[in-house]
Amino acid sequence: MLEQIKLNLYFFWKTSWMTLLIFWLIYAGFVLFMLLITFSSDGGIEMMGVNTFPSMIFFVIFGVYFFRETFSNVIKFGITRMSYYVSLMIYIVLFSILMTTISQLFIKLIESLIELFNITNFTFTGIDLNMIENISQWEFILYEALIYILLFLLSLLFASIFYRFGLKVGFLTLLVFPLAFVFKDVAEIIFDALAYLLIGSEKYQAFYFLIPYLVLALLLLLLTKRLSVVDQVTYK
Amino acid sequence: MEIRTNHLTKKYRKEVALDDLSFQLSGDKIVGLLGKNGAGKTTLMRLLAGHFAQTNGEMLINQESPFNNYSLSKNICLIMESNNFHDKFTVKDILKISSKFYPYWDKEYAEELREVFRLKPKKKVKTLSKGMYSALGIIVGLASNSPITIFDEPYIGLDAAFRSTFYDLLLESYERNPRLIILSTHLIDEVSKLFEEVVILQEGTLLLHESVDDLANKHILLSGNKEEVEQFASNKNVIHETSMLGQKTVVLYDETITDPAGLKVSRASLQELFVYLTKEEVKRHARAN
Repeated sequence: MLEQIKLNLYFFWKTSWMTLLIFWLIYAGFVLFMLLITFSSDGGIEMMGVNTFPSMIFFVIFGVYFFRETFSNVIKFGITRMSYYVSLMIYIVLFSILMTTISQLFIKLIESLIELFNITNFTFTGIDLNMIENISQWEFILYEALIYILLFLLSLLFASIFYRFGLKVGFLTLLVFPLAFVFKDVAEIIFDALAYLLIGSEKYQAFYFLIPYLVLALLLLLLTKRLSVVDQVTYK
Repeated sequence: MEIRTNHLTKKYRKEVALDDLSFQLSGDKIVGLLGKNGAGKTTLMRLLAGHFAQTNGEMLINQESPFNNYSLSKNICLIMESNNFHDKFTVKDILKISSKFYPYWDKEYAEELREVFRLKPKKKVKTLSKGMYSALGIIVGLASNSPITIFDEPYIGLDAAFRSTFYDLLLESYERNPRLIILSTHLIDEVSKLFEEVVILQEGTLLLHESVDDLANKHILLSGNKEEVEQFASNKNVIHETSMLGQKTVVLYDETITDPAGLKVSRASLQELFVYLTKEEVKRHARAN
């Protein structure tokens, strides 16, 4: 199993690094452009950038792409589904930590530039938004990583549903969540449950994330353990 | 390596791709897997490589199922006509990744083959022409040195000269490292000399599994005067017949002929035999027997 995990992680990284680089280059270019505009406006424009949200969107899209690009390829190399699954779980954590690290370094870089050029009309923050009090910087960093893991897992789960069952079942599953909000009682339960995962909420505890992680990971295991390499969306 | 299928069935929803297929392959040899389109060849090869599980029956390699079995599947390299590689990778990436995954990978040989097929290392897979994509598959298949190497029509888009190079390389690779090589092809005449055994599938069932020598010995092509040929061939297993200008030619299969009664005797090519054997009327005849 260890040999397969090493091979999988190698393949995963080969598949991801370029996408990761492109994302951060585009994003950095965009933020630097905004910074340049605010700097050249000489205080005429005020701007605020939130670093974490683009990364969250990245995770949602990347998860779908990642599953489609890695599953069939490593299975074709003879890797077992179980080792793919275990490697996936490890990679989710490692990749989320990496993204959080890059994200934090990026915030520091932009902050240094703001300080260097004495730009007062550009604010750049992470997930903390400077609005929630009594929470340390490390807790925010941990929270960012936890959110990334959750989104990556969720995205991989949906990707595997599409992969296994095709477009019809995939879109039906996607509809379940928004449709649940039509029913007031269900919506209340969902909001109540989400409060346990919302930093700043009284109910929040970091380890509550383990519950959705376990549920999503279990569903992912059930979906992948005998999954065919033939994708039911493209039939390739 | 020994491959055995017992009542192997694979269904894609309601469509039956393999139907109660039982046969056995063993030893180091080059086997031709033949059959018309939709006969179930690709499904069989993908089951061998563990791409998916069968619906019923058994697929065994050395008494074990290859599905989710790394100790077996790492020794199998299946090269299909398409969808072998992640198309965002470069040729160099594919060769490097393959070198990690295939335990018997020959790096120097892979590089040598890359030069033979004139593939640029920095070229991305998605920008390769059909022929160059096929060449990349051939390089990976041959350099993998996998104990079970399977090629499913690996030459799409390759010109005649490169196809010929592939056949030479395949034979050379086999001589250097004898193993079980399964080659599925429609260009039977081009490769028939490579095959030691032939497996012919038809509509998901086994139509024939013979050594090429037996196949050659089991058939006879008789030509002569129409009446004489018809008289001689009556009550015999005729798998093909043609008539022209009072002359007739018949192909008899699985018949012992000691005295051809003055008729002209010759042999058909493997490609011709395949065509005769897979014709609908022959299939019905075979089922009746």
